[in-house]
Amino acid sequence: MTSSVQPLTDPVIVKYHEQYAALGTQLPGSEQGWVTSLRDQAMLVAARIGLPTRRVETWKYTDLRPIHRAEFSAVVASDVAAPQLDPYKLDDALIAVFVNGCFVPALSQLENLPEGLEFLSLADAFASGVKESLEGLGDVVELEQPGYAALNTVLMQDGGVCRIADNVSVEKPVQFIFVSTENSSAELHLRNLIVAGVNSKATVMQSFVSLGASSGFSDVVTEVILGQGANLRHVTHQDQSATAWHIGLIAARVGRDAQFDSFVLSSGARLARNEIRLRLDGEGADCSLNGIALVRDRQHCDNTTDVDHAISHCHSSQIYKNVLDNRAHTVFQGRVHVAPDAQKTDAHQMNRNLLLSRNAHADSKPELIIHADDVKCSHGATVGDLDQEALFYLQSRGIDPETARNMMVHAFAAELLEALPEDSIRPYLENAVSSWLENIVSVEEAA
Amino acid sequence: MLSIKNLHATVHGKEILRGVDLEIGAGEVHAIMGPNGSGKSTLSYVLSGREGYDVTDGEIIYNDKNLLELDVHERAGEGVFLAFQYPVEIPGVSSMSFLRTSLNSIRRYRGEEEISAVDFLKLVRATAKSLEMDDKLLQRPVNVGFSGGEKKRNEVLQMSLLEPSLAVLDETDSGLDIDALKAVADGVNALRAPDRSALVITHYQRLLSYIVPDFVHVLAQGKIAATGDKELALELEKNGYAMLGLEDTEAA
Repeated sequence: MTSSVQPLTDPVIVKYHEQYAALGTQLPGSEQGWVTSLRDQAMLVAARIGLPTRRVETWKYTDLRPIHRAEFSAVVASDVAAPQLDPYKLDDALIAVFVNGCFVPALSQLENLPEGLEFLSLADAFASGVKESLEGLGDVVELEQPGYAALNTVLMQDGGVCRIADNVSVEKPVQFIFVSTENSSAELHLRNLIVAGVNSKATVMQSFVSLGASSGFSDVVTEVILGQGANLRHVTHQDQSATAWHIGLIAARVGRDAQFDSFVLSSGARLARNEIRLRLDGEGADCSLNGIALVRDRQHCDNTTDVDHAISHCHSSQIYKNVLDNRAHTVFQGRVHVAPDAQKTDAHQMNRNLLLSRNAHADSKPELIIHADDVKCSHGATVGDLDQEALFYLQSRGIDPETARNMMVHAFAAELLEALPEDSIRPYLENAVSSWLENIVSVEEAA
Repeated sequence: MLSIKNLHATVHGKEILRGVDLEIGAGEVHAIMGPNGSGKSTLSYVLSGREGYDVTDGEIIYNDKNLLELDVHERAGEGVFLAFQYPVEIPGVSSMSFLRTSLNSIRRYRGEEEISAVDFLKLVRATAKSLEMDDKLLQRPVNVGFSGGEKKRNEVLQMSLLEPSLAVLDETDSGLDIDALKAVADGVNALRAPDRSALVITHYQRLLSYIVPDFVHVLAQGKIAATGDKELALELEKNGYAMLGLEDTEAA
């Protein structure tokens, strides 16, 4: 274990450094030199850059200090009965279950994986000693990026590693369910890797849920690599306990003619950040990043995206919609960067915010940085409340005010939900939105 | 059935209705005509309970109930229906689920059983057909992408489904070509029954050739200025509101 050249002063980093030193050989993969060297290297970076304050541009609207102040426990084993997970499982899917951050094969449904689909837990992949099974790990995420990327690499403990072979189309969706047990206050560093081979096709969903109240912290990094012509759909459903903390990062590299679709439904956690950093790396690469955040009380939800059009003839589109009740706070920071040679780029982003309460607060910062001259780019943001005229129209047809309001909020989200492919994920997400709507309180307050 | 007495109402603090008196009996069709700005639409919104239209004096008794004490959706449940002058587009709300939610809300209010999905579909298709309305329109969100005439037909479709006991038509004829006007009038006439009444608000006599009223009232400066039968509408058409000493503010 190497130590940093400079003395550590940031108390948060000191704490993590001590934690890293103390865990030592308990960390998976510690018996393999390349893993330890990856972790050591990341520790050096983390020590150098620290964790971001709000003075860092990409963290301007999200304050990490409440997470630093909170006390977290070590991971504890906990029993979960299979039926407890039923509400969170997709129909007819290949399911990997992680309880408090640890893969639990007994709760998973991974029998009869189709040919060409490989699944391993990160810890098992480390333990196997077969370096090839982790090929790509650490290749996409930038350690220097302000946030938890470096610390996640230092402390990564488990997660899903999913590999789709060239020319393989996986029919069933693959679902990773990360479940926190009741009263869990653990700090989890989860790391996923999804590699979609040349001309492959698959759908991967990650669900973050809590069984009862928990106050844990999940730091999640997912690296995604799409080979030429690959088609990968990725769905995140973050519905953790409203007292939990969630910082997620998806780092993706999209190859030539490949298509990456991401959808994020975020309604849980006291503070949640869903960050996507993506590089369109080959001509014809295409991505669509959509998301819905549903927040209430004092919840804070930050959707931050960064799309790098590194090469010509690529397309990106982003629509993020936020519904805010009570004193909730949302952030949308969308950045599209078009490189000097990335001609014929087609990039669009839009953020819409629906405020159900006058005490809610939405920050929106769409940003285009364009260095090429032959491009089609657009961006925009709107903030508004419910259309009073439409509410009156619905009520004048006998519909009670609460149902009318729910119809209108659902309609706001419907544009994105209805664009989803008609598989088992769509009703899953529609149900999640509907059950959130049942608990809206602020109708009078907003009027 | 409907009894409006000395109704005063303000909009944004400005008094628009200044003592309206109106009695509508069961089965009667009343027309309200009047120059622009006379308070015709305000009266329709006050009847339906729109927020921002404040009643400062007077009363509205409807089937022995104080209408002013009821919420918007309760008035609809009691059988009051407003066909809007400018029906609103509601992106994201499907027409079919809107119509079904509406019909079932009203059925529940009346203590009736909800309609099954199959029966509902049959009912909507048959009603749309009778109004010569393309039922493909109903695959769209509420009023989204509808032409002016299609929006008005959609209002009459909703009226036919909900079978109100008091239909208030707010300038339903505006912007309609003759075919659409006839279809809308046929829809309204089909609903005529001894226990159902209608209040037809219009600026022109044209619609009243198809929906023949029992009484015609002229609303001016927030009050009923004249009452007569269908002949009054024809005279107004010929001589203009000036015959009553009123100025039509609309540039004709």
